[in-house]
Amino acid sequence: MSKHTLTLVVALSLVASPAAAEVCDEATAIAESLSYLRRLSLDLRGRVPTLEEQASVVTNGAIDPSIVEAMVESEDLIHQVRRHHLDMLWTNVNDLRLTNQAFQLSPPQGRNPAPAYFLQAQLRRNQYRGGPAVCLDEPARFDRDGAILTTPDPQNANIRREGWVEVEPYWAPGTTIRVCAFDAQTAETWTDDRGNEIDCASNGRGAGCGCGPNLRWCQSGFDGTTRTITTSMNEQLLRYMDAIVREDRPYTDVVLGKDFEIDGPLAFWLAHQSQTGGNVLPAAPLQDHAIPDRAFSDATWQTLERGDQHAGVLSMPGYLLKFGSNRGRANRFYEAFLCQHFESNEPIPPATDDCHKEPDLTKRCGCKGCHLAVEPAAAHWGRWAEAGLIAMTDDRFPAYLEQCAQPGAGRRFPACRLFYFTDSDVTDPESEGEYVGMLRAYVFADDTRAANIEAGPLGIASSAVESGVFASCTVQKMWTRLMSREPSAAEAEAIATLASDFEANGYRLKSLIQSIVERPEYVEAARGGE
Amino acid sequence: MNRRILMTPLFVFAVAACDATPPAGTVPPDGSETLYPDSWAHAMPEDRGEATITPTPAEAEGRFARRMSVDQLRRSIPVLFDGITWTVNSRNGAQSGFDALSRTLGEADYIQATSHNEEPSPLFAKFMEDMAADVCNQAVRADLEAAPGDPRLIIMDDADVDGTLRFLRLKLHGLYVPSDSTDGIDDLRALYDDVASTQEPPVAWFAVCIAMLTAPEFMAY
Repeated sequence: MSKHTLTLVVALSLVASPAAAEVCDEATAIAESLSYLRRLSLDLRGRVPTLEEQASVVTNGAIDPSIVEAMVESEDLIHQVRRHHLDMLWTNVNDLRLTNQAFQLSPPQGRNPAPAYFLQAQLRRNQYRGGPAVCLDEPARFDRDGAILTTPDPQNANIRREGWVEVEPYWAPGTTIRVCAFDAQTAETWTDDRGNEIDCASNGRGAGCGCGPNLRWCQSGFDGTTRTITTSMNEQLLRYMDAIVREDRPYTDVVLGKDFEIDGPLAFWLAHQSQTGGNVLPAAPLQDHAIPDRAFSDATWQTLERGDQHAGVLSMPGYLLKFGSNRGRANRFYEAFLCQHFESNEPIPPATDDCHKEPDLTKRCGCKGCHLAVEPAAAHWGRWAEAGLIAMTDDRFPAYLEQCAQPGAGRRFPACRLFYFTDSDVTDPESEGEYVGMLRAYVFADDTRAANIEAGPLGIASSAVESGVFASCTVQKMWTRLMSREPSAAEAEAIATLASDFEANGYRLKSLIQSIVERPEYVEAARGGE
Repeated sequence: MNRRILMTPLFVFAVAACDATPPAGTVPPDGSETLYPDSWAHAMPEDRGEATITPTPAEAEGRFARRMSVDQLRRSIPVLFDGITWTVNSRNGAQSGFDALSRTLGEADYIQATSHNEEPSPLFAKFMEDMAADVCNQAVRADLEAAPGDPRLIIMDDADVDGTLRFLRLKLHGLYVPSDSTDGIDDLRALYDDVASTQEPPVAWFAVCIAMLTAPEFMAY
C-alpha cells in the first residue's frame, strides 16, 4: 500500500462535489458498490478487498466487471470452495488409529526412556524377551545363521535381552535410527512351535516377526507417520473437489468421477501397512484400483483411474473412514448432496412392547420410520468394509460364503467375524437363520436392497443427478453460504431456475457462484433487490 | 516504541475518550466507582440501540449480514497490514493467533466441532481486542520505523489527520468519506484528539487502529 494510493483517494475525494442531489446519488452509488465489493471479496476470496480495488470503485462509481470475473477465476475462490466442502463433508480423519499397538513403535525417549525404538505392545515384548523389557543399549549380536543373540537379565531369569540395530526408516530415507533388534526383524513369514506359518506383515504375533524391511509395516507416532497418512487422506478428497471446480469440470464428478490422485504416503500405506489394522481398522490393499509403488517420502500426487465400485468422493478413504458405518455414509450423502435428512415422525411404543424385539430395523417399531429409507440407501455401501477400507468385490467376498455359515465361524475366521453374518450374530433363529453365511449387507435385504448393494455408491449418486435433486441441493447450499441464510419459500422459483441453469451449463460450479452473486438479493443485500 | 509504551496510554485513552460525566444510573450507589460504557461494562445498555440478533426472511429478503469468520480474518489481516498478522506465544513458540486459538475462536475442526460458532460472543470479542492490540502495535511500529517514502500501514500522513482517517476508513471498513465531509470520521477524530492531547501521536493512531479493527464495520459484512 503506497502513499500514492492515499494521494489517489484524497484526490478522488476532491473531484466530485457539484449539485447536492447528484452528490447524494453518487455517494450512495459509491457506498453501495464498495459494500458489494467487500461482500464479493470476503465471500469469493476470503479476504477484504485491497485499497487499490476500493479506490477503483470510488473512481468509477461502480465495480469494474473484470474484478468480479478475476475473483471467480482466482485460486482464492478454490480456497473458499474448499471451506464449503469441508463444512459439507467434515473432512478430517486425523483422529484415526491406523493400527493397533503391535505395529506401533515407541521412540527412545519420553516417559519410559529406552536405548532404541521398540514396539509398544506388551505381547511383542513378552514374545521377544520373555517379559516387559526393551533391548540393551549396545549393538545387537548375531550367530552364524543370523539369529539374534541375547543376554539373560541379571534380575529376572525369564527375561533375555538383545541389542539394537541401525535401520534406515521408510519415513526418513538417507538417515538411520536405532531399533531394538527383535522389533526390527525383516522376515516376511515365521513358523511357530506348532508349525503354523505366520504372515509377519499382518500379524503382530510371533517372536520371529518384526517391523519388516525399513520398518515398513510399523507406525511411529513420534515421527508423525500416521498423521502424514491421514492428512493425505484429507487432502486427497479435498484436492479432488478443488480440481473439479478449478478445471471447470461438471460438478457431478464429485459423486460420479472415477479418477483420483494418490501421493506417496497414501500409496505406501495401502501397499504395505493397510493390512496391519486388525480389529482397529480393517483394511487391505484391495481397493478396486491399482496401487502404485511409491516411496512414503514422495509427496507428489499421481492421477489414476478407479474401478466400478468407485464413485467420486463417496468411495475415498477421507469419506469412508470419516463415516465408518454404511448408515453414516448414507446419512452424510443425504445431508450433503440431497439436502435431506432422516427423521422419524413415528411414535415410539413403551420399551416393554414386544415390537422392540424385531431384529429387522425396517420393521421394528420406532425405528422403521427412518430405516425404511436408511437401509436401502446404506446398502449402496454394502460392498465397502464398515469401520475400515476394503473394496469387497464379489470375487473375493461373495454374497454367501459357506465357510462363514459353519458353526463357530465367527470365532475361527476373522474375515467371517468382520464381514459375514455368522451363527454367533443370530438373536432370532426364526427370522435370521436364513442369513447365516451371508455378507452382512445382505441380511434382511430384499431385491431392491440387493440391487443397491451391487450398484454401489455410484447407483445412489447417479439417481441423485438424474432426478435433479443433486443440482437443486448444490444450488441451495451455495445460496445459503453466499446469502448467509437459507432460501425462503418465496424463492423456490429462483432456486429452481438456478438449478435448471446449473444443469444446462454442464454443472459448472463457478458459473453458478457468479450467477448467485450477481442476483439483486446479493448485490443489494439488506434491500433484498427492492 | 515497545508494546508496553503503547498499551499503557491506551488504558488512559479508554477512559479519556468517553464522556467525562457519566449519566445517571452508571455510578454505583456508594459512589466509589465510576463506570464507563466500554465493551465489558453493563452500564448504559440503551446506548447500543436496538438490534435484531436473528432477522427473519420476512424482515429482510436480501443477503444477511454476517460476522467475518476466523479464516477470513486469518487471510485479511496480512493483506491489510503488509504481511503482519496476530502473533501469540505458545509452547511451540510464536505462531498465528488465528491458528493457535482456532477452536477457542469457534472454528470447526470437524472432529470435536463440525460447525463454526460465528456468534459475536464476549469471548470472541475479548480475543479480537487482543488481536487488534497486537496487530496495531506491530503496524504502528512498522510505520515509525519506515524510511521516508516507504509505504505506510496506518499513519499515512501525521500532518493530515482527517485525510489519514479517510484513508483508514476506506482501507479497513470499505467506507468512502469525501474530502468535503467528516461524516463517519468525526468519532475517530474525537478519539484521536482525546488521546493525542495527553500522548504522542503514534499512541493516538494505535488507539484509532484498535477502535477500527474491533468495530462492527470491520467485523461484519
